[in-house]
Amino acid sequence: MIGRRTAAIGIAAAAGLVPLAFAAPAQSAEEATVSVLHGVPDLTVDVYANGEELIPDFAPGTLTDPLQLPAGTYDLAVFPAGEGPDGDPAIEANDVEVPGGANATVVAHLDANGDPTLSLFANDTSSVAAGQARVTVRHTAAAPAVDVRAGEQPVFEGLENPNEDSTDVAAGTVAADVVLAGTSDVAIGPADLDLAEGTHTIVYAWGSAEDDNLALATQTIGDLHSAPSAVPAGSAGLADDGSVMPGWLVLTAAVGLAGAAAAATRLVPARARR
Amino acid sequence: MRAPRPAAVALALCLGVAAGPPAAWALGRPSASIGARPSAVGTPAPVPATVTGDGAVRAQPAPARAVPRPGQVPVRVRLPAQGIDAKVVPVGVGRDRAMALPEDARRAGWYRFGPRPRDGVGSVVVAAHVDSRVQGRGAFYPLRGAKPGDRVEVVTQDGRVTSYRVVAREMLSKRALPLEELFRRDGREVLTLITCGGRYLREAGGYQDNVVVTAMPMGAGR
Repeated sequence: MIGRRTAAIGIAAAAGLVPLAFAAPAQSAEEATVSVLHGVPDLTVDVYANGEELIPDFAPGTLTDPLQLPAGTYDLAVFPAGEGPDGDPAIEANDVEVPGGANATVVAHLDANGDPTLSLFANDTSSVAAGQARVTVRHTAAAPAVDVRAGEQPVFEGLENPNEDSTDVAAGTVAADVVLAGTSDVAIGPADLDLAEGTHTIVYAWGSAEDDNLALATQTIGDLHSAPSAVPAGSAGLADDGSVMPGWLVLTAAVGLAGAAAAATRLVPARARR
Repeated sequence: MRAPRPAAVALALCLGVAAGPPAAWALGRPSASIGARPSAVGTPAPVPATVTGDGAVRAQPAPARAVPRPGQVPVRVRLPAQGIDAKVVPVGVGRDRAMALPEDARRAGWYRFGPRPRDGVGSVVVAAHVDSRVQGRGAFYPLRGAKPGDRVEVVTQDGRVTSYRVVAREMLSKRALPLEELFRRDGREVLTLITCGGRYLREAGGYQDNVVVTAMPMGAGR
């Protein structure tokens, strides 16, 4: 697992890491939001970005808070905890492009063959329709293709490492499990997932099937909610405020105007005679 | 001084007939809107801050609003000055993503995806029918009479009563309803009561407007 370089960087919004000391002011447009997930079993690590230690003693199964990082290019390296940055990294990814405005998650995980790798996933932060929740599943485990089910009904089918799949569903709690693709052999779960309205829940399947330590990790992105489209609250017309003037009033006004016109025609010649 | 000509008198009279009754009719109608909806900002709102990375590592991120607060679920709404007193049930969205009101027009619906009373943030939305073809007048039929200063009480599941004071009543066209603002989840806390109103045009979808009453928590700065 030493010195492996990954090419998992072909994803739309790439991401990277940098020590906080380099971070620009939070409101800068040239920033990206980056979270880091550790999904390599049995290996506590130190994470370095551009040669500086970013996350010490990073334990498997943990996810960092979102970090605001300046846009730019970063070299990422992961070393076994306490070994320092001078030896060969356990995992590395160089020249990682971090575009401003991106929201992404960097995942250190096993590839399908069980070797450590780094993957970068762009997180969809577009609005979710009222009443809906977005759920994404990312296969980052040393395991074959899987189906992800909710209440034993397949939602995502044939998902392979390191791919993801996503959909918007009615908000609520679902009992999710992961089965080997096309079977009902449960590999992970079931686990209750609270898919809150207006949020994006990202579920990571990580670990190794061979070592029997497959697990789920979740990440939630909030504040993606939308307002309902309307408030239909009446159907009978009993409260019609009659903004149209009643017919008898229109008639009265018309009669008045006609009389006024007649009177005016008599006045004008009278003046003309003077 | 000469007496005015008869024709001039007739002209004045006829103009009076033409203009008077329509003007009286227009003035006699209840005004559609009164008061002003407060801006979302004003008091510093306790918006949950996004952590801007200290590199801290923790087991799982806490999802926003994951803490259940069943005690704060509204169960009753009262606007005594207008004779409103209705049971409230939680509602979501229905067809075409419109807010789904209770079938029973005597009941009001609280938008369960939005803020709750005493959250201290955002717009607590309670809506009810103005009427229904089957049941006649609905729970919020009298809402269009609400006036600034009227007291509104919301009873929550824990038995507490949260009081609000009406600051605005508006008649807003459904085609230009500021939905994002009425259903906002940040900014200062307000109670937003909604029903239908305005002209009723059967061939154009029924009521053309929404009646929107905005109330501020009592004891909150104003």
